[in-house]
Parts: sequence; structure tokens; C-alpha cells
Amino acid sequence: MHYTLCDYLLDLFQNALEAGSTETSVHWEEDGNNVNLVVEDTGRGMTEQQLRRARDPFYTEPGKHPERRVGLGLPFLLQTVEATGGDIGIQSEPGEGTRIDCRLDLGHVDTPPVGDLADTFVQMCLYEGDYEVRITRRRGERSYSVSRGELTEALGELNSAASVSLLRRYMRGLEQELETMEV
Amino acid sequence: MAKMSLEELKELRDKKRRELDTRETEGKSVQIIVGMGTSGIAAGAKETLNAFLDELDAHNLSDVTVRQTGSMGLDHAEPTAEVRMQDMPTVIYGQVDQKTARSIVREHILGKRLLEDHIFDRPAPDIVEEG
Repeated sequence: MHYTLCDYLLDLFQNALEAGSTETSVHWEEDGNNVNLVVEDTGRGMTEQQLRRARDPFYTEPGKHPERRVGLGLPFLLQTVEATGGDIGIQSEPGEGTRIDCRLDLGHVDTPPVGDLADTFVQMCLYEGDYEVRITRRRGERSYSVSRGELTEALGELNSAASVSLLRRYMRGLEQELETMEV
Repeated sequence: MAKMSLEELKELRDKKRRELDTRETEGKSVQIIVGMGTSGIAAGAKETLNAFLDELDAHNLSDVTVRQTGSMGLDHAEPTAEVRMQDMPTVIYGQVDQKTARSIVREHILGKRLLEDHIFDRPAPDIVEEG
């Protein structure tokens, strides 16, 4: 089990990038005690058989880690959802992409804490390569959305420590405005 | 921290860039790459990355490149971070907690000394001094 829900999100997002997704959308919504999370990618997708195997912790995609026999990203999330009364749906189409819809119950005693969403959204922009991610964040009535493309345009690049430092300030500002309200 | 617009973000970046242009900054061509696969995340790589960013900020090393990658294949040594820079061998450090990340900035990048207890891959054996 990961330490925070943000860790699960970053793990799912990294799976999407490793599946070759060039356009990934992430939706994170807090509504009362529920977190609704959607990660939709344009990666290579999975067949039904591959999807069954991806649920198995003792399986990892061939070639991804040549010496390894386990893959824990998705099984971690499935285990947590099952143990904490959440819901999860996974749709995948080879050549089209994968969509994961997940609801987590923050009121359940075993649900991990949310973690630092602002930093996690920043980290989702810092992987190598040319890819787009669109983040939509909603808390009660308030929401914001950002994309890696528009942030890269505003900052010139997202590689230097100077840019990342400004990006963290920007994302924290957006998050703080949402956190000041009751849901 | 006040909410700002994308325009304000761009202005801040332009201001920072003007500051950088007026002085010869240290840290050019230094790259830090943090492993951020499942095992890296579980071992605390997110906090490691933030510690690197905070320490670089504290030393005004604005031009250092910080990036993330998936697993580096050293899962037993997570969190892992690769450091590439001139005049130093390329090193993959392991068990890089927040304290070690800050030491890497001070010792490896600024002091040009290897953190020998945390080297898990890359330098030839003759580069590392016997302890």
C-alpha cells in the first residue's frame, strides 16, 4: 500500500507515460467524503487478457523491467479500493488507451491521507519527453484546470530548478484557494 | 500563498531570467534525475525530489536541471537519483532520503566530492576511494 493517495495518482500517471501516452487527462474531485479520480490516457492500451494480468501483483509487462517478476502499481490501488469500500472501473482498448475511474472514501479509517496534491501535479509535469497532461481539480463548487503545455509556455521550460520552484508556488496558490473552503 | 494567474507566473519567470542573465550562475549543465517508479514513490522519492528543489533554491542553483524518470532497476536502493555534471563521474546514488538529497547538493554539486556511502552504480572502482 502506498503512503498517500497522491502516491497512487503519480504511480497511475507514470504507468500512462510508460504505455506511450502523449495526451493524458487527470481529474481529481473531492465531494464530501469522496475522492473521485479519473486518469485517461492515449497509450497503447491493453487487451482483456493483459488487463486481467495487470491486476496481478506477480506480473509485470514484458520488457518493462527485464529482471523483474512483479508489478505493483495497479494492484496497490485495487487492494486499497477493495479494503476501504471504494469503487474502481478500468476500461482499456488496444491502440486507443486506458481509462481508470476510481472513487475513494476518505471517511474510511484505512484510506490513506490525500497527500500533497500541488506537489504531485508539479511532479506529473516533470517527466522526460514530449507529452501533454491536462489536470482538472474540483473541490465542492470551486475548480481549476491546468495543462503542461500552457505551463511550459508561461515558464519557457520546466527543467531548471528555477522554473520548477516557480511552478510549485503557482500550484500551491491554486490549491490553497480550494482548501480554504468547506465541502 | 496567493493565487496567481499564468500571466503573473510568466512575469515572475522573466524577472528570474533577467537576474540569471546578469550573473554567471553556478550549476550550469548539472542534471539530477530522480527515479519515480512504484518502488521509488513507495520509498519516498517525492519527498527526495522536493528536498533537492529546496536545497537548490537555498543555494540559488537555479540552472540545475531536475527531472524524473521511471525505475532505474535498483529497487532495493530506492529512492535513487542520478547526478550528471562536468568534472565529476556520472553517479547513481541510492537510499537518497531528504537529508542525503541535501548532502548531494552541498557535497557533490558544490563541493565536487562523491558521497561514497550512497553510490550504487556507475563510477569505475578506481574512482571511489577505499573507506
